[in-house]
Amino acid sequence: MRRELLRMDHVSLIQNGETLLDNLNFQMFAGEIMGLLTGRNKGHDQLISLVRRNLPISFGTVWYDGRIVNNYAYSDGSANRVCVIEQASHLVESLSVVDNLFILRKGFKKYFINERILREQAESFLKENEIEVNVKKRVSALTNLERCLVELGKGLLSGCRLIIVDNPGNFLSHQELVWFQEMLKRVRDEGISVLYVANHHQELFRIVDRTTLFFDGRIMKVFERDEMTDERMAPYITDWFVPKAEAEGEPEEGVLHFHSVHTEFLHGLCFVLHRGECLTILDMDNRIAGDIVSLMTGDGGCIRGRITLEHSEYTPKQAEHYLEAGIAIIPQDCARTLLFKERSYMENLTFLLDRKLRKSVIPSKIYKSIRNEYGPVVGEVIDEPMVAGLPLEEQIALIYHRIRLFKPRVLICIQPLAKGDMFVRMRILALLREILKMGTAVLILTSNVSDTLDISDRLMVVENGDCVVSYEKNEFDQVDW
Amino acid sequence: MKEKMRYLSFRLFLFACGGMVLLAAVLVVLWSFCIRSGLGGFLAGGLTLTAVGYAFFVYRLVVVPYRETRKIYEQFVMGYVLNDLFHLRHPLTCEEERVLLKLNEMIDRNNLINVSKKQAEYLALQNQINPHFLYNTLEGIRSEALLAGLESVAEMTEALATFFRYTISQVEHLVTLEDELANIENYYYIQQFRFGDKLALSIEYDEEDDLDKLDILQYCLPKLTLQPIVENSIYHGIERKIGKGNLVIRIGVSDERLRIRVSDDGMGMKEETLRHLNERLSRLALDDVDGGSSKKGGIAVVNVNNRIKLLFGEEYGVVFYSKEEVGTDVVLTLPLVRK
Repeated sequence: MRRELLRMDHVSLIQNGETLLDNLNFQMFAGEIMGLLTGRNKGHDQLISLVRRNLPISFGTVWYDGRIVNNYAYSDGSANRVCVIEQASHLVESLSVVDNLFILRKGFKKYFINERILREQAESFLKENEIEVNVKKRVSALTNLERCLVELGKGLLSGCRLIIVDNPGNFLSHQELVWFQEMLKRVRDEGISVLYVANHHQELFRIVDRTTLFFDGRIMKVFERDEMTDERMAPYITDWFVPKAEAEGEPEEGVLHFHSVHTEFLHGLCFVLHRGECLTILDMDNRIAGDIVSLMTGDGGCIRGRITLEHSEYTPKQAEHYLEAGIAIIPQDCARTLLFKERSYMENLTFLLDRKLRKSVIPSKIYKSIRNEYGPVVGEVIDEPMVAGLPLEEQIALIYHRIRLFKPRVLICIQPLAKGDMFVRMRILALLREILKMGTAVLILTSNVSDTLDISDRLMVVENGDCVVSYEKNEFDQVDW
Repeated sequence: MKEKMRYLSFRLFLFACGGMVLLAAVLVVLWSFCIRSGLGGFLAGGLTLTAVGYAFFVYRLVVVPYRETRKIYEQFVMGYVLNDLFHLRHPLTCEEERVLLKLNEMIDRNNLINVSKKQAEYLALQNQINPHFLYNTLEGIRSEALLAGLESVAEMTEALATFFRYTISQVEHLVTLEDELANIENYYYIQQFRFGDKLALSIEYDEEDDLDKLDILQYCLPKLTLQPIVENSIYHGIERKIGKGNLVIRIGVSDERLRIRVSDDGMGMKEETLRHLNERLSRLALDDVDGGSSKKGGIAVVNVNNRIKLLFGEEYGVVFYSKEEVGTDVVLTLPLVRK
């Protein structure tokens, strides 16, 4: 007869008026792998925290290993014997595997440590559990798979009966994932339970015994082994992808088009950016900016999906010469990284012009013409011999003027309003408006939308590397961040 | 303020605040005295630390338990819990605890007295289904009679008689899963005359090495637990659906609980309806216990849930999972009870 290891009975968690976990009812049995298919991030972290530690809940009861450990009336904050394996490491990077396994274990009280004995014990333990890792290695030198295996070993060593694996597909390669899943199956066969959290049902179906569909803080359905088919799952998950379908209806019309792009942190991102349009992407996890910049500059490629620029494929080779392709990028701390502080204002302003004109020396006629055009706009600072002495507002404005002069097809701004006070932000927004008027498509990547909505035409909310909802300009009043 | 002063807890709170202010004042005076008289901060520091330690213990031993008790009261008032009220870990006073236990006895006695009331509830359930049910069944009989198939008329009448016999005549509360499922199969047989091939029922068991189907069938559950749920699935889920509807009853057993899931691939329900229903099922409201609720609420499932919670405790009951146009799962959780 199956033994219940974890049971949540009518568990609700309400924080700051928001229901993060809504009437959760589920149980996990000893020796099973249960999948948790998450549709949105809402409630995801809270659920994992709640299984791990008995934190206060608004309603319901939690049983672990046959006894009540958490209740709406009383939560003692104690930890359950649960091991979490996720993207962030739970090991001490500067210590060796053996140190992490034994010395940092709860209850280890030896004053004199015999490294040889510990090493032998660690090797024997890992061999027993068929984990192949060099125990002398420092954790910082381990691969992601090895790190996961060591964390798993550490969990088993400290008597954890439940292992939570949070989206391993996000940080393990395909082959590593297969090996890791085999390891989890072996652990399952020894009577340990595994809660396998993932965003893709195919990943779960390969390994789990049951799948719980978790969406928006609620459990929508529990699929038993024989019910875990694409056909059965489809009606439940189709809705998740509806908001991002915007790109499919208007193919190739835009300047920049992301077609279901997958990278380390992007998981099927789709969007179209039109001429003179400003699209703000609100990155809830603050992880995708690096990947998008790498894709646009050729530092990285798509694992799956493709990018088109003006109807033609934007390949990594083209991306190496992104400026020539008409892509400009303004990083977060642009005043520090994009200016030559010892150079004059005019030299900084005309810095990209040589690329545009394809001339190493800019003719004085053009130089003069630019000075005449921008003099009335930027004021006296145009004659500044060194930009280092300029206030931050002027330095940032200089960069935006440079972009205006370059007139790119697409401008990507990363957290443009993160630096500076209100006036700097107002200035940046005004300059972005000017750039938009020229027909440049602007993509703003931010983790805080507040002011950027003023100039945006659309807002896309991205969680876990994919669009979860998008708003048109006339719907911005519904955005309540 | 005047209203709040009626409560002893508020008066205690005021006195505690006053005590704190007084203590703080004493410590300030003590500190200034120690500094002025050159005694150093040792004595005052020691006393301050003692006071802080004392406050910490008061917080852990009085404030935290008080909050716990207050939370249970609040949940009871909202209708979410009942049993927790009678098993307080930190009652306010001994007398209060006795009062609550007495109240519990009275409720239990009321329950015992009202066994017939519960039976009435069963009857109410029957009344709810009877007109509709009888009408359709008799219609079926009539059709069959018209077609002059005397055998089938006999079979159908027999099934109907068996169904009513099970529903009305047996008076015990708990029946075996075997009996309950036999009644469901009988009910399905009758419904088939109406729905024909449109309705398919299957019963599945999560058998294990040490537990086969026969063992599972010996576990008990309150009588007429499944029938209202199956009826709900047919009328709200499958009847309105175009095409064939499937009804699957899946039974699983763990070391502590019996789980029965009734799934249909019918019309499902709206998210708001589902949320409201689950919200209602998560609580045990005593006003649902008197026989009228099944009519008032419009769903017999609430009655089933209440009966399970009253008989076995709040940790058991019914939960709905549903998606519009896809189907509904009703999960019943019961304790393992054998006759």
